[in-house]
Parts: sequence; structure tokens; C-alpha cells
Amino acid sequence: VLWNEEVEEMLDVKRNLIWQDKFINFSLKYVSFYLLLVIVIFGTIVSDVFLTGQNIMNILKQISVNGILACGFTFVLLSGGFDLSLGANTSLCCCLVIGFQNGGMNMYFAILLVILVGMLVGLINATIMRFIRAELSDIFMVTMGTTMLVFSVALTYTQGYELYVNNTDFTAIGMGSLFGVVPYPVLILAVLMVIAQTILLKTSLGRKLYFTGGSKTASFHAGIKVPNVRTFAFIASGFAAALAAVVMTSRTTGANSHCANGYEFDACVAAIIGGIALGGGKGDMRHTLIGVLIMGIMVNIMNLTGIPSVVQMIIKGIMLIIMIYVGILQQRPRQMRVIREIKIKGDV
Amino acid sequence: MYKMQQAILIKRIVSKNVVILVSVAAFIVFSFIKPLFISATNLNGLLIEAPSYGLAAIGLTFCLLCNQLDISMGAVISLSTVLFALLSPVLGFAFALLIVFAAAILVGMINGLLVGLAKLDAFMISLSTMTAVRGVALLITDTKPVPCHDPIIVAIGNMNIGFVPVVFIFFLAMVFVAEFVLKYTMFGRNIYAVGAAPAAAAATGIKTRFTIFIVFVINAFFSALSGFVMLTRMQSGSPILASDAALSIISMVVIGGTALNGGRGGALRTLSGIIIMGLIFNIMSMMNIYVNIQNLIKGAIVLGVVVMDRYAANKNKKV
Repeated sequence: VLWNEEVEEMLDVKRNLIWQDKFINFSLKYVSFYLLLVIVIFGTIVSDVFLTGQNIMNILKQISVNGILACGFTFVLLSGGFDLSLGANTSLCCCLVIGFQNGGMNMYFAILLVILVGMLVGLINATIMRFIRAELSDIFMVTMGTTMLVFSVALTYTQGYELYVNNTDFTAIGMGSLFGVVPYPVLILAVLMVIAQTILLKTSLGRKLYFTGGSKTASFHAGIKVPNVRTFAFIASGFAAALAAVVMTSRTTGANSHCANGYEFDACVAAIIGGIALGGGKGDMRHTLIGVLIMGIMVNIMNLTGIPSVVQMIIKGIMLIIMIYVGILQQRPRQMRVIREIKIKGDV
Repeated sequence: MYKMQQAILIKRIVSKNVVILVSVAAFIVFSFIKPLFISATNLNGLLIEAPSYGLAAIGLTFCLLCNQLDISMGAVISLSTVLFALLSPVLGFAFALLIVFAAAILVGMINGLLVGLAKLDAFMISLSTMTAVRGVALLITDTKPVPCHDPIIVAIGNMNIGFVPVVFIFFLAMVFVAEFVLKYTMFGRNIYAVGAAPAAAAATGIKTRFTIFIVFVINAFFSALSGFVMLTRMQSGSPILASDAALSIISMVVIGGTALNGGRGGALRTLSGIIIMGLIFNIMSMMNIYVNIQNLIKGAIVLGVVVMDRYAANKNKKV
């Protein structure tokens, strides 16, 4: 009889705790959404031009490059990886897409070739990881090494000079808009996000990506070819880098060997602020979109209020730390508190 | 029988000190190929170059032995150079130095608290602090380099004993202090234990979290020393200094034979890594190799070292 009472009591505690945890998890789960709301409200208060249609269109155009990169980064993060070479890869693709066209190549062929180059860099990363059976910490090192390689290839290609576009068809991608309303960069970002979301949620490849990120060993024992899934993720990030390079160069009409260095950090901050877990297995394109919007609006507000871009670096760094901590909190509380409380009750 | 034992002993000594042997061999071969290589000026250049990233590499050795990858060294180096260059005319040498080290240790403490106590990922945290600290360095200098004409700095930079610069002797002293701390004190042994098997170390009563915290503080301290040595050489502080520091320093430590996942290595091994990397780049500059090809080779070295280290460690894993 006593035993039954104890069990009842324990179950009661557990039920209570689960409700508390559900509340905490609910508030933690949508923390990035609240952040977005707060930033939008803050923006409307400090600047009166913030909510004009012109400014919103500007924000959307500005986030397109970072958004495309963040899409690629999301795939890598979900598979339990990290891609530091994304920025250098984008720089290389920027140089190549202009260089090919200035060398007299057809525009579409040049874009296709550059996308292949971007995917090749991803493939090289993934192949090294397959060879050394890399953990997350090894992936940091490997992509850091390939960053150096890709950067010096870009530097060798450009010889340190700036390259400029002189093809108006190509700049139309960045400057023009569909029916005069939707700019092409925004359209490309939207289409890419829809495709990525479909792959993640509706295909077996997407499910495998989540499993691989969740637990590498368990997925291996479930018969998933983990290295292949990871290769796919890195090729996707290379694809995103090349696409971002095309959009970027067609907007800015110029490139050099280090024009996109540091963009991998922005993409990573965007994905993690949105709620993609470091180490993989959690989050989808909605999170990435929220993260990219937060970053874009934050930068926009700072530009409107005249805060120097250097302060943005500091704020990005601090924000990344906070969001990593929130990401850990999201995973921690439930199991720990239930177990601890049951232990206390169990002693009685 | 005796000969066999001797052969095994020689084999073991060779395999343990392969990096040192290779650097000695490279040194001898190149002094025959290029007589200029062993001129006093070049050797002085080699020795003056070694401590600048070398001190930070000693600090990183502590971190890597504890299985924590810190990449914020470059930012701390540049912050300490600009802080000293800005403060020394106002506050004087000693007080400026104090503030520089206090700032560096503060960064190390932030890293250490977040990684050691909150158990966040070391790489990501140091990536964030790196960005934030470099932002601070750019902010306080208004993104411009700052000259530093402090007489003591200039004097230290020009001080030589024979052809050996005095900063190199200081660097060697720091290496031996680090090696002594790592090998012959309880704290040093704890670092190895925490790096190799954190759960076992915690079970034997070692304060693993505190050890990780201290390791980050030590790394930041050595990075500040490194920045100070670079300041004596260049006599100016720059907020964009040492942007390739993480890669160079990690390759120095790992090529010396310190494992990336902790528990194996030491300060003397790092010293051999620093010397061989210095030799490689000195030789490449002597052979008139372009700087971007040098970067390519640097990246390839990092990749090669990481692949060798990790392939051997993960050979029996399934995925």
C-alpha cells in the first residue's frame, strides 16, 4: 500500500513538473520570435522611416545574400556539422562568376560553372570528413583549413585586383524585379527557402539529415549512410555559397578575393539566433527565416540610427553567445528537473 | 638480444622526436643549399619571429591538452597591442601593461566561465568572443593603426645578446616554465587528466570545470604576452593584426605533436612545432614563393596535420 502511495506521489510530481516544463519550453521555444517582435517594435519607435514600404523592401533586398547563405548553413548545422569555409567559398565564386564572363563566356554557362565550383568545395570538405570520420570539433578544423586553401586560390585567380561586371544582362539579376514589384534577389531567396523546406520536411533525405544530426551512431545503426548524408549537406552549402555569390555580384557589380569573408559568421549567427541547434537535429527553414530577419532588421535599425558598423560586430558576438546558451537551455531543463525532484521524493 | 633492444630504443626515440629531427635535417640541408640561410641576420630574423605567435601557441597548448579549442587568440593579440599603444602615453608603461593583461584575462575569464561552468561549445564561444573583442579593438582605435613610441618598448625590441634577441630568451624561459607546470605540478597533471578523460577525472575529485576555466585564462594571458612581443617588434598596434592567428597557432601546436582532443602533448613539443613552422616559412620566403602560395601551403599543412591526427585516432570508429 505504501509503495503504491509513493508511486502515486512520484507520478503526481512528474505530472506537475511536466506542466511546468511545458510552460518553460513553450516560452523558450518561441524566444527568437519574441526577439523579432521586440526588434520590430523598437525599430518603429526609434525611427519614423522604419515601417515605410521603401525601407521594408530595402531590408528584404539586403537580407537576400545572408538569407541564401543561412539556408546552406542550416543544412550543415542540421546534419551536425559546421562550415567555416562558406565565406571564402562565396568570395571565390564571386571572383569566378565575374572572371568567366569577362573572359567571354556565356552568362548562363558561367553561372552554372560557378555553382559546380561551389559544390566542388563542399564535396572536398565532405570527402576529408568522410576519410577521418570527423566529429564536430574536427569539422571546425577541417573547414578552417579549406578556408585558407579556397582563399589563396581566389587570391591567385584575381592576382589581388578588383574585378568588375560589364554585362548588363547579369546585373539585371540583382537590380531588376519581377513585374516591377518583387526584386529578383528576394524571389530567389523565397524559392530557395520553399525548396529547402520541402526537402527537409517532405523527403526521406531530409529526415535522414535530422537523424544524422540527432545522433550519428544511432543513425548508423539504423542503416543510414551517415557520410553520404553529410556530403549532401556540405554540397548544399556549397550550392548556397555559389548562388549567394551570383546574387551578390549582380547587386554590387564588383568582387575581390576577400569580398565575402566573414559572411559565414553572419549566416551562422542568423541560423543559430533563429533557433537551429548547434550540433544538429532541431529546427527548420522557418527558424532560419526568423533569424535572417532579426539580423537584417537589426542592421537596418543601426544604420538608420547611425550606429557604427563596428558596434554591430560586438552585438553579433554577444547575441551569438546568448542564443547558444538559450539553445542549451531548451534541451536541458526537462529531464534534469524531473529526475532531480523524483529523487528527492523517492528518498522520503 | 642487446642489439635488438638498442634498435627498439632508437626507434622509440626517433618516433617521439620526429619533428625535432626533421627540423634539424631541414636546417642542415638548407644551410648547404643557401649559405645565406645561416647568416646571423637571417637567424636573428628567425628567432625574433618565433616568439610572436609562439607565446600564444604555448597558451593554446594548455587549452588543447584540456580538449578545448580556443580561436580567440588573434583578437586578444590585436586588442592588447592597441590598448597598450593607446594607454602607454597617458598612463605610463607599468600601468598600461597592467590594464592590458587585465583586459586579456577578462576575455579569458568570459571564455572560461561560458565553456567551463555553463558547458557551452568552446569553439563557438571563442568564435563569438573573437568577433566581439575585435569589434572592441576596432571601436577604440576608430579602425586605424596606432603608433607606439614608448622608449621601453623600443629598447626591448632592439635588445640582442649576440645574434639572439632578448625576447627569444624570454620566450624560451616561458616555454620551460610551461613545461614544468604541465609535467611536474599537480595542476598540470590535472589538465592532462581532464583532457584525456573528463568523467574519470571528475570521479577522482579533480575540479574539471575550474581546470577548464583556468586553462582559458592562461591562454588569454599568453595571447596578451604574444601581443606585447609583437608590439616590441612593430612599435605600432593595429586592430586588424593577427587575422590569420588561429590557423597559424593551431598548426604550430598540432604539428608539434599535441593531440587535438586532449591529454597528449606538452610545451616542449609545441616549441618544436613553432621552430619547424618558422623554418618552413623562412625557407619559402628565401625561395621567393608568393605569399598566396605560402597561404595555400599553410592551409594544406593544417589539413594534413589534422587528417593525420584524427585518422589515427578515429580509425576504428564506424562513422
